[in-house]
Amino acid sequence: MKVAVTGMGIVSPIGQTVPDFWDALCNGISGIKEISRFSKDGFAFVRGGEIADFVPNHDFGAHAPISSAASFMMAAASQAIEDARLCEDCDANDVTGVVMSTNFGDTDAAEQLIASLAKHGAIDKHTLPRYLFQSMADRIADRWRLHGPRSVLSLSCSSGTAALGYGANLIRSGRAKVVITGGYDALSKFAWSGLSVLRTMTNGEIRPFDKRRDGTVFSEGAGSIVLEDYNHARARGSHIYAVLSGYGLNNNAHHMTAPSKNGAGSTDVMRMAIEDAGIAPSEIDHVNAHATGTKYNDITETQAIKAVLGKHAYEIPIAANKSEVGHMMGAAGIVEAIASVMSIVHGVVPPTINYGEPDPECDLDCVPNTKRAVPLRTVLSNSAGIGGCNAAIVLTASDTNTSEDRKEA
Amino acid sequence: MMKPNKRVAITGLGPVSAAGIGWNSFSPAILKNFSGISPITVFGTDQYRSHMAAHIPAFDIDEYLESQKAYLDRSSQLALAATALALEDADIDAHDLDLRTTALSLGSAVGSLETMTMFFQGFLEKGPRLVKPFLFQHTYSNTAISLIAIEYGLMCMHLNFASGFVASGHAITEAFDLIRSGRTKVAIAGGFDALSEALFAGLNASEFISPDTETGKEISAPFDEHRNGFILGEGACVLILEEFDHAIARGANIHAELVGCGMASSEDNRESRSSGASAGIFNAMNSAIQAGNTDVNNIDLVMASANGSKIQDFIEANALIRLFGDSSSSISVTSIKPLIGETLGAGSSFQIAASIAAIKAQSVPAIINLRTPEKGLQLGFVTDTPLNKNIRSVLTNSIDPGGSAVSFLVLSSQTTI
Repeated sequence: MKVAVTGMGIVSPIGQTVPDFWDALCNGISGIKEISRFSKDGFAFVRGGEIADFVPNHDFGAHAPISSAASFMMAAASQAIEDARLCEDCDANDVTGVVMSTNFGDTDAAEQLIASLAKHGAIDKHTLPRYLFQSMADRIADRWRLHGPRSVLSLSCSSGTAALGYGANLIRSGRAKVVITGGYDALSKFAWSGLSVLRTMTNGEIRPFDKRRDGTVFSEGAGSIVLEDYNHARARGSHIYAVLSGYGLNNNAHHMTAPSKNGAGSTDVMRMAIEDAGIAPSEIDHVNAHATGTKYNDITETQAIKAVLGKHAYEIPIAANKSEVGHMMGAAGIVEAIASVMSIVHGVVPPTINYGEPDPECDLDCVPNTKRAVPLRTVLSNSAGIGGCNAAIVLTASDTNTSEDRKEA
Repeated sequence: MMKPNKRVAITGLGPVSAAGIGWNSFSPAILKNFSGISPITVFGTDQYRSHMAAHIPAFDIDEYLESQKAYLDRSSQLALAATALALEDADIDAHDLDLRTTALSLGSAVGSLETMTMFFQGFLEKGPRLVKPFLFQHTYSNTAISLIAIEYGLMCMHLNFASGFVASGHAITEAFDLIRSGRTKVAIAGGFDALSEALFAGLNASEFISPDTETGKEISAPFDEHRNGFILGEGACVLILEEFDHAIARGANIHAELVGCGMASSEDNRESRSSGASAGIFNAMNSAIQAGNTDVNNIDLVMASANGSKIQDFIEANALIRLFGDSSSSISVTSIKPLIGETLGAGSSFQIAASIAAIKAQSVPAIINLRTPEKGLQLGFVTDTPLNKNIRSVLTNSIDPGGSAVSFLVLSSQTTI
């Protein structure tokens, strides 16, 4: 069963609608500055990508979110649902599912719970239920009266891409006709104090693939993509942006925080996705890389892309969206999938900004500093995260015949 | 579906529960109605309304691992032990698995909340520069599954569900779908959740759990007219799901066949009792039965989600009455939650294991604390003592108070439909 992308929504540090995000991304606008969401006192790293001037301009009534993380996700999902023209109460056959994904979930609730426990103080009765990651899927499903499967994946920074793969498989398995996928995370004291000790952050610019790169910068926000059974989308006259034709998920099976030396997990997950899409590696026209701007990720990922694509790797553009938006954690995979879809639709690859000094170990074409017009049909998008999690998806032009078509023929 | 679906065998069972660790301990305990619920001793409970839990006593993770670990959250310990037991039961050396056709799919409601609490309390007391760096990697929801992948070299399909009380249900359903579609041959699938004070305190405040009050005692009494909430349990239960022909070819011991899984949801699981039969659990059960190409007349037992909750037990009972129609008063219904507690994300996988115990022994554990069913809920509740009967197929449910429901149809390995 072919899976179509029929709606997209985003709340990012460089834009709070898909067109604004895409314009900013193509124009190389950075969303990174000093953070202000919580006191920087004592923190070694102070730069991040915040959602400034966030206006939750949707009336969610009884389903109104109370934390930043949930607010971002509701706003992104609302845009995607509107974009896909999924009407109110249109889920009459109980076939619309929800798949959310996050690293940290509603950290406000967790921090409240832990602080109350430390002080032996009273705990609000809503705190623990709010912290349960599943509550995000419930919030969205309840708001739009969706009665299909509702689930949440948490696979560190590969979460968003994993949610797209799992959401696609729910459609392939016949469990849903439409799946609202989402990825979200907010900056919080908990996450920041933990991420600061991982030795992956920089106080300078995030410079993927540049020889001077010295770390990543974390951001907050949410992305949402509506996946839909291709025939269902055609039958209701939906606009089909692209097709999600393959996915892979795995683990390096090496170490919780250290990268695997030869990038075997990253290589394997890309191959899983390409095989699942039923295409040859040479058919990949563009890679939207995980490209965090850390010393090791960018080398390992470059090696892995070369291992999978061979010489072809040098012939295609590689995008590093994190140079503009920062690392949106649980939202990163969906946000980068939105960028990948827009690249297919518009035939443009956004630039890798802050790029100045080439690194011989990262010698692929990362489209430095200026966007490039190039016709694209097939994009491979990578994500990875702590614990050794990897995820990859293949997105193709909306008129593509996929392996699923061939299986059904 | 146009493609022929593969069949799914269950060839390994790794339960780690308060009522027993390992299949040979868990199965007889469940069948004898042994309850693992006892007063909590691992932290003080004077300030809480409740004082009981199904806590696993005398558990030593070193018995299950090849090498000692410097630190593990309790949830990771339980999940690692359950995985080791399931692999051993299935007679599988994980290092020999074909990784491209293997899946690791687990779920939990709160993951590593205890370590997260320790880490953030360090931040609150000492500030960001003096937190314990090594703890942070043990705070993630995917910490346990990633440690399992590392332990066994499982560079394979890797899915971690954080979907509340139905988390292992989702993990198992996805493993089932991956096997049915031919992408996976062997899946390590299940769920886990550990007792911690943070979890207990949060649930205690939430009014989910049964309180010890002057007017009512703290008890897990599914479907009872006096039920007042659940008693928390901890544990992990991992299953080995295997493509049927793959299991036959390697001469595996097939415990049972998983023939159907249903997933659905509705907004009424936590609303007023007036909503009656919830569409979510009803649709999930129907979907599981349809996937098994059978009908309600061929179901011998329902392993209910019921945990003593005022609302969810009522909703489930009404959905069962609607589903079974004229035969609802005679359909055997049980719940193992008075034995192992409400194990949250591990619940679905424990119930599949308990269903297999009932099929193998041809005996149904009783709902031990059910004295008087709530008026109007007329089902064939198994009470007081285990019931011996012919059991070929079991329908087992899990309901999340937020609205999700899953249902599984488990069949005796000797049955064909």
